[in-house]
Amino acid sequence: MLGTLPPGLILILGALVLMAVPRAARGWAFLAFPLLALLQLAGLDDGTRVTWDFAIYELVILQVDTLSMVFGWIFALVALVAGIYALHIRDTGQQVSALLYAGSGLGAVFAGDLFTLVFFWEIMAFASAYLVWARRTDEAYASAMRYLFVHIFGGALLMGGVLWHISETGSIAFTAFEAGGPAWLILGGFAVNAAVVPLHAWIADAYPRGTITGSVFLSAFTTKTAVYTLARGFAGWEILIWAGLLMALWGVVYAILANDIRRVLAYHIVSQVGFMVAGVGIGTELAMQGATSHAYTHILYKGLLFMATGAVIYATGRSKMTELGGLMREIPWTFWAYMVAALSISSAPFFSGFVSKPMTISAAEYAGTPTTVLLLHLASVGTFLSVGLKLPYFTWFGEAPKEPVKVVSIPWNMYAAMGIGVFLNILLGVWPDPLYAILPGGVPDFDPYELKNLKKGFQLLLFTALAFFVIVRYLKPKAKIQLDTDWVYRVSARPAWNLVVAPVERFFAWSEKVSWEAASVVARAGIDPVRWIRSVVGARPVDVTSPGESASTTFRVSMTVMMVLLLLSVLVVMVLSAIRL
Amino acid sequence: MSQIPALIPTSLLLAALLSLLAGLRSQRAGHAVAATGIVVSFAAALVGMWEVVSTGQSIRYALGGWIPPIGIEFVLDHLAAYMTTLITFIGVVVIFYAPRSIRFESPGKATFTYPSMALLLAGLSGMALTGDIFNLYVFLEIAALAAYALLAIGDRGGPFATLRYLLIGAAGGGLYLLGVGFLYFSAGTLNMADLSGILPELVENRAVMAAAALMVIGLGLKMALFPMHFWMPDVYTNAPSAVAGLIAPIMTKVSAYAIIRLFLDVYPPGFFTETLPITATVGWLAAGGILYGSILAIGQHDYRRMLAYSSVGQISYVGLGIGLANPIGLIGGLLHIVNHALMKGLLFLIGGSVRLRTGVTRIPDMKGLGKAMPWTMYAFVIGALAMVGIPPTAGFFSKLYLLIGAVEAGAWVWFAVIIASSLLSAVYFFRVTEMIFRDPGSDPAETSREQGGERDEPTPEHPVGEAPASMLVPVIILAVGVILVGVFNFAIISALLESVVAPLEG
Amino acid sequence: MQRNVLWILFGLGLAGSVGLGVLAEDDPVFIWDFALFFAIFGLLGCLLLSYLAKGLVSPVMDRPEDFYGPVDAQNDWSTQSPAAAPDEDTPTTEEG
Repeated sequence: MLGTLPPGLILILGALVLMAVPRAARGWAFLAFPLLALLQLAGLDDGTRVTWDFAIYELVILQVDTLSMVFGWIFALVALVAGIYALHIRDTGQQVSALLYAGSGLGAVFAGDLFTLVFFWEIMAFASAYLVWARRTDEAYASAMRYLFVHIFGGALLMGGVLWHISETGSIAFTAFEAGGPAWLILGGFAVNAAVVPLHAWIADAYPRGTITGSVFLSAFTTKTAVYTLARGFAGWEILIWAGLLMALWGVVYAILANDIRRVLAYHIVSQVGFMVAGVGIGTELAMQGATSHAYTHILYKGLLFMATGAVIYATGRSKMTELGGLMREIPWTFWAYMVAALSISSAPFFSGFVSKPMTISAAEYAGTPTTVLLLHLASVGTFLSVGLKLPYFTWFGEAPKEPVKVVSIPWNMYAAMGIGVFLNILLGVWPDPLYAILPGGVPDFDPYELKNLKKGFQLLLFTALAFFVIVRYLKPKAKIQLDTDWVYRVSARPAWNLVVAPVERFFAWSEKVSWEAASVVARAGIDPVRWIRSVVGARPVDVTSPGESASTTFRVSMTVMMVLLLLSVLVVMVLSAIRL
Repeated sequence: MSQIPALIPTSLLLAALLSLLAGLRSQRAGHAVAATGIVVSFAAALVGMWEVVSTGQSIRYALGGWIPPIGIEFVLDHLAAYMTTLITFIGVVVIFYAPRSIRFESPGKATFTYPSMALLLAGLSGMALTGDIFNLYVFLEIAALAAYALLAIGDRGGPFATLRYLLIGAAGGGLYLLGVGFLYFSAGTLNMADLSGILPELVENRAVMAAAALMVIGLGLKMALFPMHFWMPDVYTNAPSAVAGLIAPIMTKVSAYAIIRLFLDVYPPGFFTETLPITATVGWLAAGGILYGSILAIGQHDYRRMLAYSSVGQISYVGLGIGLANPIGLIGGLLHIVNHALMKGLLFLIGGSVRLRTGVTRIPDMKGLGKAMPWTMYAFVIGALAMVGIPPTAGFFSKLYLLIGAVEAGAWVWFAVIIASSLLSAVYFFRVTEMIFRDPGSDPAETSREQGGERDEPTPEHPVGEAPASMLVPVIILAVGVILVGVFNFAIISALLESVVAPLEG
Repeated sequence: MQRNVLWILFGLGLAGSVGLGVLAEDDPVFIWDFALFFAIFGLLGCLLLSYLAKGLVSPVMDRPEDFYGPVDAQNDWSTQSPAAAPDEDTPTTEEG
């Protein structure tokens, strides 16, 4: 319909158009663009390529294959649903940035060359940073700045690696990378966005601090784009398996401890993306399909999780589990929506997570790595524990907080969006075929409803729940934060300054002081040598006045005598030589 | 129209003189005369550039009809056209910006400001046009004297900072002159074209080598090449905003241009790279300067001081381009001359607008200005994005070419330095950006006075509002220019810069 | 009472999953993949992770909320939620 216009550009142009739309209609106008993008995606054939000449390079701004399409579909879909969730927003900045953000995510997954990728990567960083900043509290401002710097740092790694890669290979195409210096830099850049430990702290710092509607967008795009780029560029790199495992467990442990409900979810993203990264690392076809389908369903259920918790925050004005509790009476529907998502994320049978995450684990089994399998299962246990049990228990059940909560009603559009999310999660859970059909490599060699998978699913979840109810008091939330790797740059600024910069400054100041003093000594001496010598030798107490004062008598007299003698001698010499001649 | 090369500096000199006389009658007349002269010179520069680009030939003009090498000649070649267009353009923008700003920040000094500005432009354009190395010194000093006068009329710290600059500048000029002397002694001519013919035979000559070193050091002092930069922060911090907007973009750049001219057109190819490791030294010092300037800019609370340290870093990009000594790297450095001129000019002028409307110069006091002065602040965002190097602004492309040049030369440390500096620039610029767009708390002007800001701060004329048109329009022109130069940088390179770096292609 | 019904259902579920485990006894992928493996894994895993988090990581890494600097005031959600607004007239970014 729109020819081969890249769907990402539809959203980006839409963002510009949106600025001109009157405030009342803007929320609805927002939805038009993801819809257009979805229509566009339906019309894109596999193998389509759109190029654009820029300077001496031929950029590939649209390259369609199965991997891109999977991500493209879910990105456009979640943009639409999140747009419905945000219909009540009147803040132009947020609406425009959200479209820019979603659009650049779409642009990145369809980018066929590295320059295009970097271009969209950078736009994603700025647009998403705005969604954190738009909250406009002091914490949010600071957090947004840190987020931006971390992402600019990642972007710099990426850019540096890309330039190095291009200079070595001469090609700007975005394909699988060979091991080498450039590839490591690029991997670093991707790793920042994927929240690979230890570069992950920005997620827990920024996502809880974003706006209610903004964080829904945030949860969907940055990390998944990174998963896509890792899948395309680094499939089968073994280090990713270990990185993924570390992320899966680290994320889950911190999620168990976090107090702010969205911070739990943010750490949880680290854990889930860890699964995907590990899948990419394993690299077999089933593993890649697992990682891809996991990304797909993750956007659906994480989005729903953020929507539900966002609704809780909207309704109560609070976000910390220590301040919540006993909300079941007030906002039951949100609870059920949340639980659908929580069961999905825990791979409960009949929910969307069940048809995707176990695929990755299955692939690990076939690859013959028992440790990986067990650790991934452990992370799944932790997932259910933190997100499926602890969070909902202490938010909707548990003790009512000391200060009674004032609950306001949640706007209809937020319910509508959550409803769509619930529907999609259950639909995919019981009927995964549409997803399986579009996976790269075709329908995977995996049947989620095999008896053994069902057994695994039910046993894990139910017995984890059992343990939870036994030790529930032990897991009570505390109003504390946990140190994470961001300590390094949050605390080290001042000491680093003192160590590196201050000495240089001091050196320049000192050398300047020395020069001035030397100059003034010479000046004082030069104006009146006699007085200066006297003051140095200390022959007679002399008032050391400023150099502008009149010179001492001795000096003047001696100078005059000398001048006269000099002139006389010159005169004599001249007369004598004149006589000679 | 072979008079163009002479017309440019002459109209400026004439404008300076007449403006002074007219200014004794009325400030407005003085300003009008100066503005006319500058506009005429800009038009001349444009015509000259057009001619040079379309014919591919340089325009040579012998002053007074005396034939070089005895006489002094002006040469408008691609590089000179590039520089003079830039110099006069900045002049035009600033001369229209200046009246309101100068009246506010340095009342009573306007009569002498406009002639000095014209004189400064005369000196700088003369430096760019001249084909004689001693004449270069003459114009260098003309520009310097005018600059000293302009810089000294600023804030309380102005005179002392200018005195320092004067002493250091005199030393730099002196070293350059000494180098000129050595060259003249050895080669017997002062004409650049002539020298380029004679010097290849004198490559082993000690005096010639010493001359090169002395000239580069002298020019380096004037260019604020690290570690000879320390005069700059104080000077830019205390200067009146319009003056800073005039001097910061172009003064140091022309000294860098002079080094490039010596490198490419006077000395034989390979002299600056192999015979004496001049380019390598400049490059390493520049790398240090980039890091130093960027890091120190982060800790500054005063907006202008932050820009000053940033400028130390940015001029070093040009130095890095010299250091790379390959075509694409040097193109990156040359492009950065224009880019940085536009960006820094824009940022300094914005500082002046802010100071006019609110009286503040400290960054924490700029909280919430995005609401009060939206146009100015959006221009600031463009400037900030350009400084960090975001496409499609101009700043991105010059950095890109420098990076590619570094890759080609295998200069990995410099590669990392450029990338690191972009990150660091992001830190201090986004700090200001987000401060500007926060929700305003208390009245910014009040905060500044409460915290004992500048004691000489004149009180704002009006309550906080957008800048007046005479100041806003130049700012917007520069902002648009930043984007246009970025978008059309390829055209600029192919029209002008490629022929400049031709000597390196060999 | 509703509570008790839920608990009974839960117990049935536990039993059912164990039954599934026995039923689905086909080729185990790993030697230890016996009928009740995942049940025990879930139970112990939960306890292990809880202890790891609460018992080992928490005492070391816990810090007060204002460790890095001042935190937002009590009504830090006031721009986002009517529920947290100090008074009814406070505009939020939604309506403002």
